[in-house]
Amino acid sequence: MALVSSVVRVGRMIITAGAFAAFYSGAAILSWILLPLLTRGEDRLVHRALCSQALVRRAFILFHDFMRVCRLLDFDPRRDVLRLPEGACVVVANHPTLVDVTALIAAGGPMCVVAKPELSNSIAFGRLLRHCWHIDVSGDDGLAASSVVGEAMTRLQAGLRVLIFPEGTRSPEGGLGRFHRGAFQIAAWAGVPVVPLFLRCDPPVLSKTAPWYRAPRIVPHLSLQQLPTLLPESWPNAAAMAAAVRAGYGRLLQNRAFGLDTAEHCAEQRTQPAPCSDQHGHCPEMLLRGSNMDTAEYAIAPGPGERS
Amino acid sequence: MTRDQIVSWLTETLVRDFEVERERISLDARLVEDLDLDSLDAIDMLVRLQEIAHERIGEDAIRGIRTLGDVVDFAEAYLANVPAPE
Repeated sequence: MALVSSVVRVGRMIITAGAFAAFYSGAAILSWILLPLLTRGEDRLVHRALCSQALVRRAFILFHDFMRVCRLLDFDPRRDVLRLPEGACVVVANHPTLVDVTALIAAGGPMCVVAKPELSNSIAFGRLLRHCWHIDVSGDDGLAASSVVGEAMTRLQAGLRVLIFPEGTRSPEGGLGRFHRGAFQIAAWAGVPVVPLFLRCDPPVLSKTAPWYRAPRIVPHLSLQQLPTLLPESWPNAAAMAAAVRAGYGRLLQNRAFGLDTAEHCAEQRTQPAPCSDQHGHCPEMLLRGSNMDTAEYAIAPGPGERS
Repeated sequence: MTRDQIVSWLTETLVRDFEVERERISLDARLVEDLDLDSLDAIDMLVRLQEIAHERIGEDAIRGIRTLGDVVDFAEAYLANVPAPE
């Protein structure tokens, strides 16, 4: 039995390596051949970016199909389609895995991301990122790195979505890192909505601390959950928005730790409202899944351990 | 704010809100390489300076600011006439 398990793990490791090799090769082909060819003669920056992003999105869908078929990661972007608002918005998300960007773009459609300097300067990805008009901060360091604000605002003013991970890096396993308010500040300055997404990978894989070759015994499942949109004008400042979204994520993670699955919990809640309602009669999970919310609604939703 | 008040405020802000270890903080410390601050941290820092200064700080004004000492020098010019935050 142990031998079979080891063989399966080694097999998964080899397939994972293959998936990443295919990913890097595909990125290089897109960067150097397909995107230049398909957007040749297109001088309109935004149009070229959207065409490029649409093509890259298809590639990401194929990448996740490959991962799913090979039983590396159970995630189907065709099934878990995100309904993001039309037009400019700032999309924020926690960041449990290495493939969150590909999953979010595959499921949510084109959006501009802030690229790390090492990606912007890489042979495989650099041209792809520039074609897609992703945000490159490699030229600035120190306090001048805040030029990401201007870059993001330009995309938002052009009607594009901008994806930012408020933690700035991958989340610690099963938890959250320090939240930056930058993403929320950009939304406030641009006057566009913030769309929080919550990602969960169970069991954790491709996390910040786990090496890529550490394959779990069962196929990990990646799920996306769209939380209520925040309108900056309804909030006192960006820090308050950041704190509320972080608290919402924390509560969802806590529910997981308490063994509460969001969908099951809410289905149960619809038939038995009393046991998990707060003093306002709201189920905390339903609050996080409802329509647009204001400050008070985010603030009052308690976690399971806080219920009276 | 005096220079000492700026250094003190900056140190406390970095420790409390940016989770930088106090022993890593010195005026020579580079924001990116030594303190691990990234572009989102830079926005946070800029916003905090703007909130105290009560004015918008342009991108051109912050070019070349790479160390904590640079931030203090820069802040000194902007914050000379404002009271220290509580």
